[in-house]
Formats: sequence, C-alpha cells, structure tokens
Amino acid sequence: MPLLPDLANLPDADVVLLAQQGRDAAFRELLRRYERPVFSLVFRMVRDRDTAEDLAQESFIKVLNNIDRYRPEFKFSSWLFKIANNVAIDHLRKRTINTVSLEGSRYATTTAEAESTTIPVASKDQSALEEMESRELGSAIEKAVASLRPEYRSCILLRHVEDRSYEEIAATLDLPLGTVKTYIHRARHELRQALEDVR
Amino acid sequence: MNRHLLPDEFDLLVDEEIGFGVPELQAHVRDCSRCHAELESARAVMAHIDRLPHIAPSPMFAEKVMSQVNVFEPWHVAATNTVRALMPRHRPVRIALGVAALTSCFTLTTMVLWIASRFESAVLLAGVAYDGASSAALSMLAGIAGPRTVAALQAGGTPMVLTLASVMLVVAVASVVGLRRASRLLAAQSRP
Repeated sequence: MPLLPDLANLPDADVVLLAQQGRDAAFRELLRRYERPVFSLVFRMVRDRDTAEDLAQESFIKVLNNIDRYRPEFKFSSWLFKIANNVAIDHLRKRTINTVSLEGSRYATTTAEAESTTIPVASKDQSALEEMESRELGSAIEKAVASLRPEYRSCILLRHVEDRSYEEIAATLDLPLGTVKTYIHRARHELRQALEDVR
Repeated sequence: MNRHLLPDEFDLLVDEEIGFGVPELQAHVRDCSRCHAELESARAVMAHIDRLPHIAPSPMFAEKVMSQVNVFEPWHVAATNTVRALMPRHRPVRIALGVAALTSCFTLTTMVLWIASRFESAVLLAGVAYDGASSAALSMLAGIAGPRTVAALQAGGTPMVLTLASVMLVVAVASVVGLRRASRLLAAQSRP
C-alpha cells in the first residue's frame, strides 16, 4: 500500500475521499477530529455520560459505515452533526415517552394521592449528576444551557460552541433559516434570564 | 434613530454582523445607555457560552467505534494499489519496465495485425490451437475422472458440456457466497 499523506494537514473532504478508498487511517483521523465536538454536543443534549457515549458511538458508526454515500457538496462536519443531533433528539423523544412524572400522578385529585404517587428522586443519580456538573461542566452556564428546549439547545451549541453560521445550522438541522434565527434569539434571551443572578 | 433597539437588532450586533443598517444601530448604542447596557449584557453571556469547552469521551471511544466500522476497500482501489505495490521504486527500473511493456505491446499488436491480414492462416492457426487445447483438456479430464466420463461427455456433445459447465459455475458461486457469509458471521461473533 502506498504511503498516506499527512492526514492531519488535509481538509475534511480529502480525508473522507481516502476513507471512501478503504483507508483505515482516514477513518481514524475523522474520529480524532470530531470525537470531542460530537460527544460534547450529544452530552449537552442528553446530560448523561454513558448515554452520550452510546449515542455518539451510534452516530459515528452510522456515518462511517455509510461514508460512500457522503455527498461532497455538503460539509462533512455538518453531515456528522446532523446525524448526531438526530440521534440525540430521537433518544430524548423516546425518553420523554418512557418518563414517569416524579411529581406524582397527574390524575391525582388530592394532595395525599399526589404524594403517594410521587417517585422519590434517586439520590445516587442526583448526586452523580451534580458532581459531574461541578467537576466537569459544572457551572451555571451548563445548567442554563441544559434548561433550554432541545431544539434551542442544538442551535445555540452549534452557533456558539461549534462556531457554525446560521446557514450551516439550518442545513445541519433541516430547518428554515428564519426558524434558526428565531430559535437562537429565544435561546439567548432565555440564557440571559437564567444567568441574570449569576452575573 | 429615536427608539430603542429591537431584539433582532441586538442579535445583529451580538453576531457582529456588518451590512446595511448596522452602522446606524452601532451609533444608537453609543448614545443610548440603556441599549448599551443591554448589548453588553448579551455579549457577556454569549462570551461565556463561546468558552464552553469540548468534552472528551472515554479513552476507548475510538476503538469501540472502529470495532464496528466496516472498512471496505473498493475493487478498483485494491487493483490500483496492487499495481502500485508491484511497481519498482527506482525510477530507472520503472523506465526500463515501461519500455519493456511498450515493446511487448507493440510486438503483440503487430503479430495480431499480421495474423488478421492473413485470414486463412489465422483460421488454420485457431483450429490447430483449438484442437490442441481440447485434446489437452480431454486428456486432463480422463486423468481426473476416467476415460468413461470422457466418452460420456463426447457422446453427450455440446449440451452435455454446457450443462456440466453450468453446474460447476453454480457450485463455485455458491461456495464463494457461503464462505463470505461464514466469514461475516465469524467477524460479527468476534466483536465485543
């Protein structure tokens, strides 16, 4: 096999081309470039490290196993973020369906009934999450971002953490440009309100 | 401008857009303390968000992904790589090899053209080659399957030969498909 060029200096499109030719090193280079951004996006969407790891893996496996279907007119990173975001949103939707209210049954008619159907929050999970927030993400900003609606969150993370243009975000999330602008505007507004006390 | 900025106009300034109308907004912000304060507050929040770090997955993340990725080398790439691997590294050797290949091609082409220009000779040569090849194949078959099989084949004629060839082809294709499937199953079972 001929020697590969220095992959680290190649643009994404060239690395993808080498991956399409079955070069293992090109697959690994794409993983090296995007494992952190993709994991960060998914983690900030689902707020659980193990789940985020599984979902980020699923996203990469989908993308890399279908690398021959990649269309070069689309940015590789946009395609990857699109898959990762869809995987995260699908997970959040499924989780919403499976979620049982911790606040007690919504069909409870009295306080006693509501209390008896309340599920106590597992202190282990709670403390693990809190610990993670304080140690790794651990700030009011992370919490404020986490409190946003998922669609606002994807937009604001792509805009500010991944430094994507509005047009790229619209293409990545399959949303009209106007909707992206509205989501980002609302997200910023909510973030400012949430962080008002902190600043 | 005799009004405060609208939310969308704040976004334009936060995004540091340049274009029609923006200088007017900037001029207003310079003069209006309320809009100035609001813009600074928005910028401060966005600066915090900009600084959110990327988070690393577990150290084995890439290996876990790669264990489930099928790295497939297309046939044309494999063929090109094989040819490249066979090519000598030194330039003079490559040139000599190229000259030899060109000479061979030229000689073969000349021979083919010469034979084609003498059609009757070509037919005669083809007939001699066919007879030689078929007698060699028959004697080989007789060595493997016995003279009675050869006699049966000769009695059956062309339909018999074609049927036998088809059966062999089907067996070969089925073997290849079966082996590929078995190797995939083994690979899937060996994944963590």
